[in-house]
Amino acid sequence: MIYDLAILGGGPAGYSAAFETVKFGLSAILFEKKELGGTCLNRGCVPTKFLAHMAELYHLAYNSHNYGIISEKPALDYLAACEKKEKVVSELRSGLEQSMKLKKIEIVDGFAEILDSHHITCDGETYEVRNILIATGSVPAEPFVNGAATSDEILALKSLPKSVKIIGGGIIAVEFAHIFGLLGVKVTIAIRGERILRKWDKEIAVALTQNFKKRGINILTNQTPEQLVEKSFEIILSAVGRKPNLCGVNTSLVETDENGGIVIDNKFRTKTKNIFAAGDVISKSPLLAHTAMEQGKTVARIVSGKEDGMPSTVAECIYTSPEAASVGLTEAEAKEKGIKFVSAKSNMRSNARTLISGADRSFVKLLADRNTRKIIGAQLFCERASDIVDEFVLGINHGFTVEDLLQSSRPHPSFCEAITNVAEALSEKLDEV
Amino acid sequence: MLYYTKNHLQLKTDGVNAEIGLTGYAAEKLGNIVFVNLPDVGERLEVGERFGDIESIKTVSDLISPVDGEVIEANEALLDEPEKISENPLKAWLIKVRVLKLSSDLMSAEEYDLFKEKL
Repeated sequence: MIYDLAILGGGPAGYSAAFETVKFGLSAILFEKKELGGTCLNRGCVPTKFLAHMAELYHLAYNSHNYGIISEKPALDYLAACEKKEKVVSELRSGLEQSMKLKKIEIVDGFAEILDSHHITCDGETYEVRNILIATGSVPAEPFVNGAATSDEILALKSLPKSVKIIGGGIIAVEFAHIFGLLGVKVTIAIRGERILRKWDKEIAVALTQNFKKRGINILTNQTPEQLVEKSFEIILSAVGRKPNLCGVNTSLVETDENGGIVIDNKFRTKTKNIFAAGDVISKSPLLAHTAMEQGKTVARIVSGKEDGMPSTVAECIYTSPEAASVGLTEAEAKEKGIKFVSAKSNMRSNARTLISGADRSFVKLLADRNTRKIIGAQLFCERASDIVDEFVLGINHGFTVEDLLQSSRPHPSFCEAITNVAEALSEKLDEV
Repeated sequence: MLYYTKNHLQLKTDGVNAEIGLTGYAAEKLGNIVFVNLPDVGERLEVGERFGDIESIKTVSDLISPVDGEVIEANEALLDEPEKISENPLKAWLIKVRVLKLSSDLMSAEEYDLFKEKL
């Protein structure tokens, strides 16, 4: 049999491509050397969100007296929490496997290698294929501190450390700081620069810094290499980024950039026409599961001749408390592009649900083009930001103006009333210019 | 020299640098100030452009620059203690700027008093 699409890697890019391929009546074979679901399900988004949820529950229980609930201080059984986490992950994984089998996607459990543009080998067997998708994902970058743990290793811990130093200030770093902080671990973040989340809107970075400070999470800035490796902590987590995983990839058939990311054209093709790449493994990947999914689907559509446009604007989220989310342009990016824009910000102090939930300082910021009044970006730092942002994603992808956003009566009380508030503020400001 | 703006900022300048803060009137009107967003050192300011904002309990007010220039210092201590602005706005300066050009729309203390009366 000749498969229409052979996929290396069973993460979000890989499985999404497989589902989309068979939808069009083509055949798909997927090779996975470890576990289906990739980093996201097994060592990333899902287990960290489980831990964040558990840490937030613990924190709420610990502070339940704020809501008139008087109980004994809760105790923590981290091992039990980890067992539950594994159970959730394995349930999702087997659900994924069953769905794939139901859709007649062939899954091969093993380490696959690309022999040439039409042949893949796995455990001594050779498969003939028409197209190949490299969706091998990424792995944590090597820690530059001896003995430091990667995020993979931290997730495998069966007991909580007393103190942890986190090297790095990106999403992975702040999410672990959030989780450990809530669980009573003494957390120190150490970074080379001035500010955590340097790729994010400054206001979100500053807001999270202040939030962390209040919670006793120590942030050491402008650290020298000597200071970064200082080891007076029980555990050091190295969260200094991820690198593309090229295992099994015949690198003579693809071009890679200086970081090892596979270079693709705007149709996700590598330098070999029938070999595609998607997800974390590509050059300058945003390392987002939902972006990988969209890319995987796009590749399947291209392979099946049902090609459509490029993936749409996607949101980035940080699961702290409050959450952070960003979509489209930030003020700094809009300025750099020379776009004439107006921005407005609404704080959540008059949002009833926010006050009820006891959330700290939070806000929603919205940017619109000064001339067209179309929304071009939004940054959120508030409860449920990862849900609320979706309206802005839809709005940007469909060219909504600020007034379009106002043509919705949102439930009261709800977190998403913040959208109405910020859109009203922006509409007024646009009228003034 | 001490100047005031229609956006209720005050500007103390020696002709080279300027210290920009909120006027007492603005601090009183805003009520409880809960946060202030300041620009980074090195950032360029333009007359009439937003350079940050002040959050009070109910509202977010833009800070509009009265100068063309470059930020040489930002009072980051206010991030931890924004209430200092309400307590003593004349002391709690927001930013220090190297001035290239002052806005042509600045007011003296007397002019600002008259301006406030008309509001």
